[in-house]
Amino acid sequence: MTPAGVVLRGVLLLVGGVLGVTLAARHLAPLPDLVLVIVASAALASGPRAGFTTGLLGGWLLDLLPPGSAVLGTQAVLYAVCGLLVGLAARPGKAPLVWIVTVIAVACCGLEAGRALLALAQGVPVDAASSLGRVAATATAALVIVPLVDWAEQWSERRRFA
Amino acid sequence: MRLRGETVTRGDAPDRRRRRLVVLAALATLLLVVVDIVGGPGPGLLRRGGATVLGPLERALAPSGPEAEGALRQDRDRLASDLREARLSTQDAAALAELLGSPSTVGATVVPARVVAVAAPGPQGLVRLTIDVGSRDGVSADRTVVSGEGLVGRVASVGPWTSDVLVLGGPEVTVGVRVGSAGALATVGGAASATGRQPGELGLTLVQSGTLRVGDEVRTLGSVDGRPFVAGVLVGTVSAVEPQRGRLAPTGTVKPAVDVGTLSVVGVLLTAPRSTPRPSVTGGAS
Repeated sequence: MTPAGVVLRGVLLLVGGVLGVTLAARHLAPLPDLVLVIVASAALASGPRAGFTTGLLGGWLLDLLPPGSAVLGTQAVLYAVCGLLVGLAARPGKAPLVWIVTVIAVACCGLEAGRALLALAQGVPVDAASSLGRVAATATAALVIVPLVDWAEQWSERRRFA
Repeated sequence: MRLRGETVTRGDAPDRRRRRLVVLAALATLLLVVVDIVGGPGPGLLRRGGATVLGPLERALAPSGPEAEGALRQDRDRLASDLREARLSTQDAAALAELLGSPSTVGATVVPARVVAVAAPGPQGLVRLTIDVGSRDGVSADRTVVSGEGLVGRVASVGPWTSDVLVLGGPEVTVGVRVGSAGALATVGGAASATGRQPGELGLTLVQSGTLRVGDEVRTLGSVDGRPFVAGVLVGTVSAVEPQRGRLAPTGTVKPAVDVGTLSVVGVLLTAPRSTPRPSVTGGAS
């Protein structure tokens, strides 16, 4: 990942995390998982290690952003594993958008399944319909955000070396 | 050869360092998960730090407020935004009036608050939320949080400007309650989970054998000094009673009085601890 990509994705993680919790307080649903989209875009662009690191950072942000998670660090572990697995699906060169969106939708399904297992382990009933809505919203957001982030990264790199 | 060797060494060292850092960060994360599960001291400090740094950001992005209206006035969609904000303000004002007029807050010191954030959404629904009042507003941990309809949850942790609330129905909230006109003792939420309950419903278990009827009101039993729960706040109504099937105490499900999915204005009850001894009385036939 280029330095511009690191800065850009760092800022987008913060924006995505804050928007996620504040928009949910306005009872808008289904909301896309913007943090997952940014983690996946880093993983698809730079491989499993970048995906793992970005996932760890994004998850920690969600863990610490009030109200945070019930057990500190669970989001960090979930997103880091997601980033690692999405990074393993990275292809050399420019990947087709359909592939990117499919990988992110599958990653979102995995994340929702992980959260559902955690909830069920604590005896809390889960709502599968809301999970499906979130997967659809996340895949749709990825369709727009991932190409934009890639374009912004390439543009800033071109300006840097111009 | 020497030059190439030097280049390789220089290129590898930062890479190894980065890899080591990532491994250390992952190990630290796993360690913190374990420490938080066993109830160690570090995570609470981290949460307070997060609330101090990131809480004001969430307050700034909270719905409505005259500042937000002012900033939007120059926009082309000013009228549409104003209308939306006005609707929100009207709803909030109505919710505040309902809160202050509800039986839960009669005679109590209430700190009104707005919901500014909810935890990362998941299939388990809304179990934690953040409100825009904190220690500087007199709020402390283990306070009862109510809305106009009834019980919302309890304050879990407090930052200077924000507080995190554990919502009724989440795994960390168990409430002692009285059910129906007879006032049968029971627990709601937490481990008191009835089988087959739907998302949004609460599990209820009577502490001993008794009668449970659909439609019975469920109210908080109350805690010492009103912390974490004051007595008499409406939790919900019994929506289903399960067949006893060999259990000692009947179980059922409760439809919560509060729809957390539409929550915007809540109140934190600041009950003062009892400071005078209770006088003793002499019983006698009337």
